[in-house]
Amino acid sequence: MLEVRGLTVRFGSTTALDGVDLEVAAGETLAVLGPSGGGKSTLLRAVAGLEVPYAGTVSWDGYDLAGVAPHRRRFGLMFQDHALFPHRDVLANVAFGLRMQGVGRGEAARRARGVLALVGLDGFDHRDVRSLSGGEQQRVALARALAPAPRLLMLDEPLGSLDRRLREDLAGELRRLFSALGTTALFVTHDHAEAFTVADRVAVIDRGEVVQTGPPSEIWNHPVDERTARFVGFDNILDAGPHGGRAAVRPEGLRIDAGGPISGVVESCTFRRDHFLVRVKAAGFEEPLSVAVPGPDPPAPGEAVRISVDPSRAVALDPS
Amino acid sequence: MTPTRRALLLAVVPASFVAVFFAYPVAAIVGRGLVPGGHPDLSALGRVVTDPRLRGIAWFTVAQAALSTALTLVLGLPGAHLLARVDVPGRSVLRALVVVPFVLPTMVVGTAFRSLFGPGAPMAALGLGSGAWAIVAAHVFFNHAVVVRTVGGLWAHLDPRQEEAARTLGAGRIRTFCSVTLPQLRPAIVSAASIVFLFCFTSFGIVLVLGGPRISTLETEIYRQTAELLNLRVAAALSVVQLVAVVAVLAVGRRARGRREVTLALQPARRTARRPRGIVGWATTGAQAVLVLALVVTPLVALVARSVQTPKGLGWDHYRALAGRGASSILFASPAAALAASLRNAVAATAVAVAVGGLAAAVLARRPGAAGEPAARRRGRAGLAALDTFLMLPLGVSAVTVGFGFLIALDRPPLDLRTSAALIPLAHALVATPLVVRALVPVLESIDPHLREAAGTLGASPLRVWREVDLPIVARALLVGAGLAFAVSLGEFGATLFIARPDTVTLPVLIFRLLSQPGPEAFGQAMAASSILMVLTAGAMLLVERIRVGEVGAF
Repeated sequence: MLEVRGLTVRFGSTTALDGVDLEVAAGETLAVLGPSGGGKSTLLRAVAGLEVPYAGTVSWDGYDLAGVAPHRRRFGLMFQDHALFPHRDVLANVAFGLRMQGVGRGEAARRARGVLALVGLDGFDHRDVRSLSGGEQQRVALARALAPAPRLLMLDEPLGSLDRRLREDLAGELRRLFSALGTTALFVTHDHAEAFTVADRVAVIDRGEVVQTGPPSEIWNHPVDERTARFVGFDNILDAGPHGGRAAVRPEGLRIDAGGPISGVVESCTFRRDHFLVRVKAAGFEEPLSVAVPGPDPPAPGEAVRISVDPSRAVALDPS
Repeated sequence: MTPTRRALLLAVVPASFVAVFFAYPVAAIVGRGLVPGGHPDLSALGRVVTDPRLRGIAWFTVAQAALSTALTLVLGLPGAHLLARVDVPGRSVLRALVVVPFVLPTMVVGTAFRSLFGPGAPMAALGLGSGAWAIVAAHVFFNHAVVVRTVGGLWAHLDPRQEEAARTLGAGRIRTFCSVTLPQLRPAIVSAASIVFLFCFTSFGIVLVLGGPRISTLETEIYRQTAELLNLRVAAALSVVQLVAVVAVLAVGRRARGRREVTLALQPARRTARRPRGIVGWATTGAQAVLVLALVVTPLVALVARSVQTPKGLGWDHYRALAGRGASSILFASPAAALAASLRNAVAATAVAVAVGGLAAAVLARRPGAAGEPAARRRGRAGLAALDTFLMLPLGVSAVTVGFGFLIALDRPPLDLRTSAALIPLAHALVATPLVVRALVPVLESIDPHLREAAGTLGASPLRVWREVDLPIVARALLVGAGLAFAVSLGEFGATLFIARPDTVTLPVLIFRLLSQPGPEAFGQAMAASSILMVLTAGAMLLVERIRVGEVGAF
């Protein structure tokens, strides 16, 4: 299993990672979730041995990897931009890692074909990688990382460049693939839906620090602080929540309610597939509140409204 | 071993190569000129400044270079526009053709213009027979490609919408060119002008062949003082003056180049070329194409025509005579032996230049890692820039300086190479290495560092990454660099003339010796030998041009 302890990476005077602690158990998939520029890619690069940590350790099964070169770690890394070798065809890309292990050409090709079939690319063997679509390139990159059977597979925003529909399909596919192969995986994403679909556990990282780790449902329902809460969709932060103390509420937890305690004026109203998202400038709140209104007749901008909070959908925040 | 250590280790080879075979000989020149016998003595330098003949030579050197540069710019800009902006049929052929003169050996260019400007030749009939005009014309022919490639390279990437915007704002065609296009091209024009000036300033073979005994530049005077008057101190002092001037011109060019990258919104070239429109458009394009072709093709056709012209009409007599000619007291070697020596030198020089240049490019293409303190990164970048400048020096500084330096520095312990067969290939490799570096660095820099990292995480060791990722991607550029080095070595004349011994005469040196013999037979044979050399170098270059097609590459 992978253990990361107090990992700190600095670039000159900026600190990209600040004392990160993480564990990935054998066969487990851990998603690192965080906003862009939060140090996620740096984490993967440091674990892969591509960045030299300023402090802290990366170890595998209790063995410290400091000083072990990237090519001796047997960690696979799937790059965000895929980094496919442009001068090799699909099959040669996928067989590359096997050949580096000393597997003969014929055997490497045979096993590479097997992995290509696994990701749904049978018959793509001799295609030029530059001629592939984004989704196909993503599959080749995945197959290339999987083929040498790395003891840890790391994926950097693996679905980032794809359109929404494809992303949802592939996230489910990844989940099935990882559990079928028993892969130990560490992947980073900025998309919480993706993290929750693929991972057994999620670590939320922001500004170089891990702020919360837990199963998806826990992160989704009980964010520990305001930053995490906002990141997973709790748009409204109330200073005095229904249970006393600060609370985070999703737009679905607020209602337009003539008897509600909060008064305000509608700023805007946006159509969102199954509801309207109404932004209300409320008295006593610095930022406008976001309210999900299911009905067909949302309030119009400029209209005065009152708002109530559904106590069962408000999450108390630890004082931060 | 850390990556930084590895880079330092790699840098040792090219840096010591240039130090031993360039810096040390140049230091020997400076020592000979300014500190003879260990005592500082500026009298030789004083002679250069006060002697009216030497002052006249210095003045002529600057004047012919300035005039050649101005004319090259005037004639090169239409060509640059044509190849950068106009989508004409056969553009790629034209583009390859334009480069040919630049890679031709100076001896070939010299003899070609002797055939155009010499007694009884077409230009002499126009009253342009004098040596100075022939020299300027040959320089324009030789350097035309520099302007077309450098300025055209930028022009092809300028956003045409800015010109269109100026037109819609009411500016006429000429006004648009002067106030929108020209200012954007300025850095490339200045850069090209400084390179052309440098080449004309340090031009040796062309001046020697076309200037005759009456016209000298600093370069040919260094040779005359060395070879004819045996006055090494004056030659060394002249070399020092030359070096200072060259470094100054290089510095100006570097500043101009540095500014180029700043503000221009560059576009992919394929988006900027337009088909000519209407009769006027096609006529202008046609005139430009005719100008380019006339400039490039005429001297070469004249050369070949003269080589097959015999008293009995057209025939291969000169070639046959050349083949039958044995070693003689004037030629030292038979033409066949000289050709063989040239080819041998070219192979050896190419091998050395590719090895040294490849290592240098591997170091120069590294980006100082993102990790580490900013001060260390700055030091890394400064170190790379210094190494880059150091390696480029032999290209900027004249061939005569290289040859003269070899002559006075490598003829005694610790390095006595006088009789070594390696002497000439080493001099050629010194001149060719910067070209190999220039061919490789842009391609190496364009390799996404993620590719190397991906190979690393897939289990490839650093050496294996180089073999599996860098080498296959850079193979074409390596071939281009090798082709350039081969052509340069085949044609190198200035340095070789200083260090060639009777048994190591090369084809260009043999041509020079044939030209200095009296009689129409020797002249015809010189033309024939030049034609052979032209076909060899142009062939190598056209091969390389075909490989380069479809690839990015600065001039």
